[in-house]
Amino acid sequence: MERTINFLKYKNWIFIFTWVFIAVLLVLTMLRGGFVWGIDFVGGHKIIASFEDKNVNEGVIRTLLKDFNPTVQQVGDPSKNEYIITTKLETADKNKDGVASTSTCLIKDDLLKRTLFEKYPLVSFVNIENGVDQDSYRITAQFKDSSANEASIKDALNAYNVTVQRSANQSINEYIIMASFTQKDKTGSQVAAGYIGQCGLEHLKLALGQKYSGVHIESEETVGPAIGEYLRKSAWKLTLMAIILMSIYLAFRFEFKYSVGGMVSLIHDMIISIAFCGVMGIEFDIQILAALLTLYGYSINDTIVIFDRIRETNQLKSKITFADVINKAITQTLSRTILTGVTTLFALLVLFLVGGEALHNFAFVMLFGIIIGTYSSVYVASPVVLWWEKWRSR
Amino acid sequence: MTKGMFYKTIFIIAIIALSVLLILPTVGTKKMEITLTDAATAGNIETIRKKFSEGGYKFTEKGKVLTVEGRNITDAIMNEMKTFDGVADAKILKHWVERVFLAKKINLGLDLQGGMYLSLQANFDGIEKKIGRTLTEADKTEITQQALELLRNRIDKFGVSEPSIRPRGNEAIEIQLPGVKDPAGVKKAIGTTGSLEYRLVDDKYTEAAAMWFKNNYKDKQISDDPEAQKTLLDEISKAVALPDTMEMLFFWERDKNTGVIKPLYPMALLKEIAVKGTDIKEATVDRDEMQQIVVAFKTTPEGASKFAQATAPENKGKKLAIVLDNKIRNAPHINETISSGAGNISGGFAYDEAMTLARIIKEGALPVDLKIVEERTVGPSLGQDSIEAGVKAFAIGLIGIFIFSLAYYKLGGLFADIGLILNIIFVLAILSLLGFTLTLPGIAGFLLSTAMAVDANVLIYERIKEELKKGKSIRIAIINGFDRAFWTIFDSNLTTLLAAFILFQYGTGPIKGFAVTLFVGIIVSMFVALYVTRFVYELISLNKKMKKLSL
Repeated sequence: MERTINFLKYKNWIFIFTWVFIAVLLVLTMLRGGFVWGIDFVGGHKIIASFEDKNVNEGVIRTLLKDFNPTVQQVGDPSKNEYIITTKLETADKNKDGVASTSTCLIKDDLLKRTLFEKYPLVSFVNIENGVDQDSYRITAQFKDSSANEASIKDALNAYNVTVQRSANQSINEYIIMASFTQKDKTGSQVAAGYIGQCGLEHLKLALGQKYSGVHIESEETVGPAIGEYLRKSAWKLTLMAIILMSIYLAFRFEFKYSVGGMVSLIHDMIISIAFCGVMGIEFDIQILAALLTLYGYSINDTIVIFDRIRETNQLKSKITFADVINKAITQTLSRTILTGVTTLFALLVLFLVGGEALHNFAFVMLFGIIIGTYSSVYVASPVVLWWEKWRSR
Repeated sequence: MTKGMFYKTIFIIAIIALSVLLILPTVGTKKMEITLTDAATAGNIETIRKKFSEGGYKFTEKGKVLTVEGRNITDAIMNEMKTFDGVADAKILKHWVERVFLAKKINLGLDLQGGMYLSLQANFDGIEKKIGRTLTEADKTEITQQALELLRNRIDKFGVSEPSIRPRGNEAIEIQLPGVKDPAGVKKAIGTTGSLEYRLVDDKYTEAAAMWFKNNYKDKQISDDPEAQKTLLDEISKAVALPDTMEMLFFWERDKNTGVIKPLYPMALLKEIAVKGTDIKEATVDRDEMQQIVVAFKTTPEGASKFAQATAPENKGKKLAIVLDNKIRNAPHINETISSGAGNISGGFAYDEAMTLARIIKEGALPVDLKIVEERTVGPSLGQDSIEAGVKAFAIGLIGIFIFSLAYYKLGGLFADIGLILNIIFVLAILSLLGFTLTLPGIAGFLLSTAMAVDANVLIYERIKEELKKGKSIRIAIINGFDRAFWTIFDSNLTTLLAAFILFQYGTGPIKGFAVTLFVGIIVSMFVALYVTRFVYELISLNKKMKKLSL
């Protein structure tokens, strides 16, 4: 006769331990300053940039960009001197007066026209042509205001690289303004005065480009506030829908008590894995969401294997108690639980170590999550089924 | 072996062969042809050669055409090549399997190959102000569709091949541009409002141009490159001695499958604008007395007289071109003078075509300005690093699992490993068939399904071992093992399948990618474990002399 390990012997202690563990994780998260939402869910800008200048470090960048209140984190191979710079929307797009704006930047020629208009409200633009390249314009403008002259127009547009010339027709106050917007920074990449994208990103790049030569922007992301909210809501909705549907299936294929066990253990996994991200200060973005969904899938899979065995053992109608049935089922599936767990952990460990920067956080959360998922199948899902059964038969 | 088993063998072998064929375009070497300009220098060629010096590329040079062969050739690299000095064009040749079997290849997401992703929304607030009422959901959908049409019209300005422009829900538009070099330029091209105008076509010069085109450009495809198109138009204008009052432009048609518009043939137009886009107030799809689908339009009071002039009797029979951003999108014949300020454009339209035309006309009446609500640009080197590291990790992980299961299950482990390889081949084959775009979350889904494939084997083998311990014969142990494990695998996988289905149905972008690989992966792993592996073991159990099962 095979030995049955009494997994449920300490179930009350383990129950307390689980809640203490969750509480500790949550307290630690609060001590760290709460959850870090990635720009995917709250909106904002994210730049990955590498610097040729070896004097650059996290602190230096933070000081340089302090107006944007960024989080700066060095990533990847240290010799590359590469950083992730993230700003949340509410701080990145504040203008000089500190008013938050999510407005889009104007297109370059519009920006110039706006500037002229602010000084000479009665100006009319006769003709605007693209110059030789995309970033230069030839604007013909008529001024009602007689005080406008070559010098004053040039002065009004001092922020831009312009030449002003009075047109041949001397009877009207008409000027031809040649504007070139390209401000080649030292790396050769273009940092321009404004585009229709969110302003904050352009300002960030401009600030970096002006200070350092040899800045390489590896990637840049902007997520608008509406999209962030939309993604956040749809993530919640999807997770809940998935859990409910899985519970219904469990209730249909097994019994209701299994459905309760599965749901509780899944919620347990959710709370712990999210709290884990909080403790580790892992930014909660789409990639982490994918990791969480993956581990919920793994956990429920693991749980069902045990449930399936409980159901099967229970059908044998032996005289043993339901608690012993559960113990027996867990024992019988133990070798499978360990084998599958270890192989999956191994694959994730490799991903964590050599999978590259992009998969680093993903693998890290998964590594922790697989352990939790396996643990919850044995120590959360199964005891809950037992408790439910006891409560019902009372 | 029974007859049934014989057919099963044939079936399994056929599926494997087909799958291997299907994944060839994805995993095999790809060929890229780089055409040099006449002015290309040896220095230019050297720069290109240098770019491909690492990573095991094969480089051949033949006159003005350079050919690069390698596994890692992506759309992003192709688009990057186009920006090199001395390069006229670059294109990835289709794998022979793609041509013969109409198979597709798995595309890499922008996070893996580098590029630009934009999500745009029409400025609904601005439009509401302009028309003085709140927009209904249907209005918003229609405005988004109109903006979509506008973006398709300027797709060439983005300067990339293989762009993707599609609506997301009914309020936003997603644009994916692999390997774009000038993100700022793209944003600028999107930001300008469209210019729509109606201009008369000159038949004489159009015929002359058509003749020239027929003689000199017969089967050749017009280049995607706007510069080359302009040069060609200039060349035609010169050849037909086009007067100064006219201009040569291309007529563009929309590809029904991809939605991308392509230049078809040149037409000569009067430079004078007959009717401005803003002169038309509205356009709808309607049916005429003959029940034919037509585009009905109404002009503004001011536009009515202009339209009457343009369609005056002396112009009867001529064509009036509808020009959006310097591209002729339609050129209906003038059948009668329209002086009432309302008219129809007929032309045997399918409903879709008529909708497109109505949207183009509306773009003149009510230009939609777009704002960027989401923007992601990944540099090509970062994308390249990601894919290399990902593939390396996947390979090491897989080898580890192989060794582990060999050590633990011996011969059984070998079968499990073969099953795992089949699993990967089948999944890739199905994703190829779907023309799937693989992103990082997609890889995550793939990984999870691989773990579940391993799990399925473990479940089966552990069951067989239990049965053997109970003293059952090898044959019975195998049958019982598979039978008992069947429902475990079925239930656990179906639950995950349900979740994957929800994510696929209601998720967006990256989450959808995760769901697809997970969904496909689970179905394949069930097929491999419960059908293919089982079949292998049934074959083994036929051997009555076997004393011990290697597990």
